[in-house]
Amino acid sequence: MTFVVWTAIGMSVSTGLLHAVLGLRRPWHATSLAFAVVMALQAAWYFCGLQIYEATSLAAAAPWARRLTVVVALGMAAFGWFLAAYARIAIPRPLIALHVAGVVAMAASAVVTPMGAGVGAAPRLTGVAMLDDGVVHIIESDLGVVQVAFFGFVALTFAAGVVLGIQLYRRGERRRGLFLSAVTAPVVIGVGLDLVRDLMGGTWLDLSELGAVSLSLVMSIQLGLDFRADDRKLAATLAGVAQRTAELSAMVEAALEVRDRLNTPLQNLELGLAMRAEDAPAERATLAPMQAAVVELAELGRAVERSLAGGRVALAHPEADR
Amino acid sequence: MTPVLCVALGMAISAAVLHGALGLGRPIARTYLSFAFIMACLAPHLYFELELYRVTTPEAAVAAVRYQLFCMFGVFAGVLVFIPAYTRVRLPRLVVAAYWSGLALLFVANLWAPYGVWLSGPPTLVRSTFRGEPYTGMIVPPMGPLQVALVLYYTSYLVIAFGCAVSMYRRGARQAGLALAVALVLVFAFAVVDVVRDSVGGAWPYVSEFGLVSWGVVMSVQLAFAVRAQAEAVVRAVERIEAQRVQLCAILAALRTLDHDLDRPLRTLEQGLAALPAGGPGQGDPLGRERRAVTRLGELRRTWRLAPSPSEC
Repeated sequence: MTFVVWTAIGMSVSTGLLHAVLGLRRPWHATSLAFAVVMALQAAWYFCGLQIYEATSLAAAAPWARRLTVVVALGMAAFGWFLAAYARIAIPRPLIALHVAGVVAMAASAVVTPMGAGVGAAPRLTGVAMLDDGVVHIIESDLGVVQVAFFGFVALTFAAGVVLGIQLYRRGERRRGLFLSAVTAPVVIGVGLDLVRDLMGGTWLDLSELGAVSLSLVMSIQLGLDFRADDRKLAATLAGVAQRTAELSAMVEAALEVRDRLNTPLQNLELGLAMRAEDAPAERATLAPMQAAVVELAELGRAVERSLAGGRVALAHPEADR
Repeated sequence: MTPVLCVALGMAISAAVLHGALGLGRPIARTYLSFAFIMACLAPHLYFELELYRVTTPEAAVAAVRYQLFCMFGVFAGVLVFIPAYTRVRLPRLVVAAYWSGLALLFVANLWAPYGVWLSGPPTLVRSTFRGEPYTGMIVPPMGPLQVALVLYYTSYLVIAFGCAVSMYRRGARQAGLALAVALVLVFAFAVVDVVRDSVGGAWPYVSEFGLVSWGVVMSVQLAFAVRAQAEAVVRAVERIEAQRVQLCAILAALRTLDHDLDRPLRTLEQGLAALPAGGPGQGDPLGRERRAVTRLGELRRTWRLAPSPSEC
């Protein structure tokens, strides 16, 4: 069993590291970052569990049980953050407040009780024989309301993942929803079976650990696919915006051409009307508004040129960052 | 040894999974897929290393080493695709063909040779402990021609990969080239330790797999950096082009305002020309040039109007 748990630690560390690298970009990719934090805490959780497996006395196991409780509390907080970021659903404030209160209470239990909220009255260290002939130890105790609440809180947090997955599926994000429900459901079942084990005095190992392994693997795949999909969407957006910008640039170029072609007829008119005004003084009353119109048109042409000055700058460096 | 090897195994599995997912998106990214394949081959290699430390007979040790080498050949094959894809260095076809042929020959030799390619004869097993954990150590016989061939193949392979990394660095991809070079140095250093171990008949644990795992971790992080950098570059490009679009839209809005102001002076000119007396018969039109100029301005006005109204603004 320790073989599997050590492997799971390696998986969590590596997955956490890679998603941290993927998430720490500008702007931050909150889903990847939250998942990296969940994975780091999952590795810490496995490690605390391993120390309990290898403990030879209850006194040696007790501090690790307390640390385990703190790690689980932080893990629940991080998983809540991950769910909110992944599902992109506004979670009602009362629910967030309840979740935070649960996390704080769980963490506080590690300080005020000898072994945290997960261990009840009359704790004892029990050896469990493994298939590979080794023996690992687990802490058994008489569960009370606090322990049931502890397991219930963890199960509910993961159950929220199942519900959000279903909502995502209904919203049309089928693959993302399916993945989320599929990875959180085994953890809920595992936590439930662990609770049943503790209530019945069973001695099998934590099944929630196996559920968490599947979570890290499957969600890693999903987030990898998501990352590529986001990348594709961004590339498509880039292509679309670039095309529209090119079209706008073409329109500005066309306006520039019109402006250039205004010059010759305007100069002809200006000269012709001035000569006519000299030759035929009687027509000056008619010619004056015409000359004013030519001046106005020339001024409009200059205004066009001023407007286009910025456009020329923009056109000179298209897609400089590509 | 078990915890370290298991952690390394987990890291290889997760790297294979994540890079496989990154590579399988459309368009398929050969760099990521080949890296995922390398990690997928490295995972069973590490598993057989664990098996090797638990064997009790030389036959089981030979079988474990043989399987390990098959996995290693998978790693070699993956690297043959990965290095050119990652470094974008085009290796001569002859060199590539020689390496693929060499790999095929080594594969067959590992299948047919009585002790595989890594061992020239039956190993001697010794029970040892490492940090309190018992394990089976293996003292191997001196190297034969097959073992020398494998070492030469492996070394030349690393040298070529290192050359590709240097070329990448020189081309300007400094971080990526440096990461590959450092990772390859690690692989080489750990492999040398194993060759020395076998040469002097040492029984300490093999370490070359840790070189490969280090390489895997460094490259895995580097590839994740590359994905991130690509995504960031696209975001920056979108922002830049979006800013240009906004600027162009502002210009077009200003031009549309001017567009409305063109009509009145044009009408004044047309009405003025109509009001002016034309020349008598045989005198020609003294305002011909002005009329043509106004007609030209009218045409330009219509051209201006033909420009479609941009829906993006």
